[in-house]
Amino acid sequence: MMRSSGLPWKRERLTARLKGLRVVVENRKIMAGLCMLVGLILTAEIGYRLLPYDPKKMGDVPLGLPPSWEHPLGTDPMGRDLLTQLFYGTTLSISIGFTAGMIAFIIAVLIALIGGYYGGTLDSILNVVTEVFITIPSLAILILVAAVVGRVTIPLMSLILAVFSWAWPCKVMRAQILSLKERGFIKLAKLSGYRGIEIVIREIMPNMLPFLGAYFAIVVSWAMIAEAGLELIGLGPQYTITLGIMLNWAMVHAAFTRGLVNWWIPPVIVLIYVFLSLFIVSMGLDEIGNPRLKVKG
Amino acid sequence: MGNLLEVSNLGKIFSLGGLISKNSVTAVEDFSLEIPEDRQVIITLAGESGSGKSTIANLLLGFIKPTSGRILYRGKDVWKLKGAEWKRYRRELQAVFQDPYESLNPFYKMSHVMMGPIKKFKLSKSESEAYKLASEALLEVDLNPEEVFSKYPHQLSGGQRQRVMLARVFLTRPKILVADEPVSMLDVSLRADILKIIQNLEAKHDMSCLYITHDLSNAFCISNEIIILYLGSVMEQGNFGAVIKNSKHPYVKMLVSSIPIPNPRSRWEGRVKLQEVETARLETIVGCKFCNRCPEAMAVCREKRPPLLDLEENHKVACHLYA
Amino acid sequence: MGPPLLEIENLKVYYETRTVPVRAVDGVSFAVREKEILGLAGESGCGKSTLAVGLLKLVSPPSYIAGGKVFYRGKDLFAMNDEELRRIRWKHIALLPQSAMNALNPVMKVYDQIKDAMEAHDGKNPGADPKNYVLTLLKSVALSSRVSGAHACELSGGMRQRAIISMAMALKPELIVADEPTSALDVVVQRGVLELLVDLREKAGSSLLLISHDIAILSEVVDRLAIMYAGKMVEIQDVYDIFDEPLHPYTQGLISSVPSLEKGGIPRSIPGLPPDLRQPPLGCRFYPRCPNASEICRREDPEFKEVEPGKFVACHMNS
Repeated sequence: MMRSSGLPWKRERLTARLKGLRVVVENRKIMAGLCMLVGLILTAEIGYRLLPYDPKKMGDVPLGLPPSWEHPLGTDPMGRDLLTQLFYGTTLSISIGFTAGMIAFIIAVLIALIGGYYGGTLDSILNVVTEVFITIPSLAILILVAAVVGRVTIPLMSLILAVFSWAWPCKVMRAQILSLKERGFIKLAKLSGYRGIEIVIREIMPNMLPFLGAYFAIVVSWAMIAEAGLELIGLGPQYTITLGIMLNWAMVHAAFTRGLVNWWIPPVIVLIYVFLSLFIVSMGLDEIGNPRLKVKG
Repeated sequence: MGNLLEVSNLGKIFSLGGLISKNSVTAVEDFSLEIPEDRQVIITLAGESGSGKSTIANLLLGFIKPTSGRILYRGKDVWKLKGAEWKRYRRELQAVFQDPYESLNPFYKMSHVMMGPIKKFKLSKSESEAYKLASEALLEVDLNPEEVFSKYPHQLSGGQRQRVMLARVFLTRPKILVADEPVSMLDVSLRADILKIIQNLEAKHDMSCLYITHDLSNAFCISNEIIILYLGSVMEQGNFGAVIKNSKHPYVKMLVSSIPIPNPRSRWEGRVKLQEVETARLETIVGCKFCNRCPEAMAVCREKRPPLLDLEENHKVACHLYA
Repeated sequence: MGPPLLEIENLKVYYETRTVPVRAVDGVSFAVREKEILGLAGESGCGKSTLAVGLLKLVSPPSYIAGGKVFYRGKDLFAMNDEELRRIRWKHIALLPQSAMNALNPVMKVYDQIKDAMEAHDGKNPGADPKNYVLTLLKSVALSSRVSGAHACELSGGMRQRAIISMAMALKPELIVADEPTSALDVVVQRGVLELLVDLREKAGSSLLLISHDIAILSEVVDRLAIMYAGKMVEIQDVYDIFDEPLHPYTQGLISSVPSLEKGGIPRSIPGLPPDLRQPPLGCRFYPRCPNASEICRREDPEFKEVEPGKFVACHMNS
């Protein structure tokens, strides 16, 4: 029964980490969703570089042209190629959304962990703050902020979006941490000499991993919706081009009523596509969460 | 020689509701216990649901803080221990719980629960030594290390999981084991093995045990001291045989006589009287907590808490009938 | 004790799996007499709970009745249609399944639940005054009238179990089948509930089939004790006789393995494990664990028969 070296041990840990990666890779949904997203981003990046036009420069190309070989989506009334705008806007929208999502997610996790695990008055305070952020009408505040600030830059946009996306996932995560805290294996960890933050990282976090992935996908989706919404009504970084800003331009120029579907439908489709791929990824993450599904036993 | 564990007048009151509510529950009241350093004991802490026995376990293990009284480990208050002394307390006081599945983190394989204490308590100097220690501990409880290490909790049976819990105890070599209903979720046929392991730990590995249960028949197999709780207070305590065969407290008499004996010639005599209505938590009772159900209650029983008095050698009762 | 009330003949209840079915109850025959308290004991997995559900044809997929008959006062229950069988259930034979007390709707009043149960199985209420009847029922299980208006979630475990028993008594059945009615209850409450169940014989003339893994509590109240092992019945005797002289080695092992306040010391458990019921052995199912076994035990499954008046056993070494 005894081994001469501790190899089974070390091997065990390494394979566990690799296995973790493999499980993710083997999951069809996650890979499908990720492929969809990556595929989109690659198409947008490459497409943008292949086309010779400048999406932001007005008068770059003839005004108001319908779709043709040189301009597959046509051009807008300001003289900018629409396909180039679509490619450029897709990448920018996604990066703003993801940045906002990341920031929001990190805030949510930190607050949920600190409040949920340590409890007491600190938790009560953090809880109140979270609830406030959930209930205040984000749109109204955003409009206010945008109006006060005047010119919204890209980083500022991400920040504003983050501030209003963290609260709800935080509340859900905190609830989960609270229930995990009461589980028996936490007692055993304490008896083994672990304390505070060690227990959170070692015992609680792994049980939240499947959910964390899903929450991240939700936060990013939410950020992107908010982003598109704000930009649509003209409260984004209007000096550049994103999917939402394209829609804003389209709206301002009555593209909807004038039937200029080459203008407004493509950005809508891309947005839906992004949400769909994020949704598929989160479904896949949901599946791999439970070790019972990992090993049929 | 002093006491390893000395509990004095331990009390715990839980307040219900949020910051504003005034409702409270006295889960434990005036509980004292001594576990000596120079010899091993298996003490049974018995009580029905609501007796406070699990709260006492949580208090002794340092999971919750007492509202009154003290817990001294090797002479020092456990809530004031620091550094090496705290580590020693943490290591020497271990536990086994009722539900072995709950005690296991479903995310990790079984090796996780064994390696944790080895790492934290620095029980070995290298990975290979750690593996060796863990394997030996598993063999002590008749488990195959090769099989068990790589399994997830849900892949083992309840009996196997509880054995792993006990293997973990072997690993840490505690001085005191708090066993909270260690066999009540196991099949009857598996219980004897677990009891034997605990007995073995006491006999050969310098370990005392506080055996917490509602099932006296099982406890009687390995323990010879008993403390009987009712609604947070000690009613009677002392030598197990004496308390069972010569019960003094009316509650204990009722309890002991209701324990089923697997012998049709030793059947229950008479009837018990059950509660007709849900009684609210008896926070307002100033006298004996049992007075509402006691067939021998006197006036003084409603007015004053009965003190825990010595009746004879190693036999104490908290009852005004004997004051 | 009177003539047989319920006769079970070679009952088989199996569970379907992806491969072969699990033979949870594999040819069990016995009878419950009028005004009798019969205990049915066995380890978990021996089939006793499946039997309880099976005899009233209350099995649901993946379990199914694979054979045998059940006669209630001479009437073949399995030959009846659903409507007839439903009228037998609860009114003549009441089943209290495991954890029944958790089956109470926590947000419904106790009174409403009892009334519902009565109406479901009897059409209209017995007598003109259902409210008073429910109060009498509750009183018979030592619950005050306040409980009638209470919700199930306000009651303790013992009180809920007593409420369930009163529901079972509502239509005055002749036989109550109670599966682990006192597990999870405190010792004193357990005794009280069992005493109530026993009272039903005096007060209502009911018989009781009491199923439990705990032979200690069975020995306190039953007239006869039946022992099941791995889907088969292995012994039935008068309770005094069975403790004095258990005929089947499994019974002997079972009795020795129970801790007792009278004896002390760690009891001896039976080594080994019960067989896999997907592929039960051809011979006696207890063979691998039996201290008295011999060659014939390995080859042939012993027949369950009456070796002396009132003593039934399935063992080659005992017939």
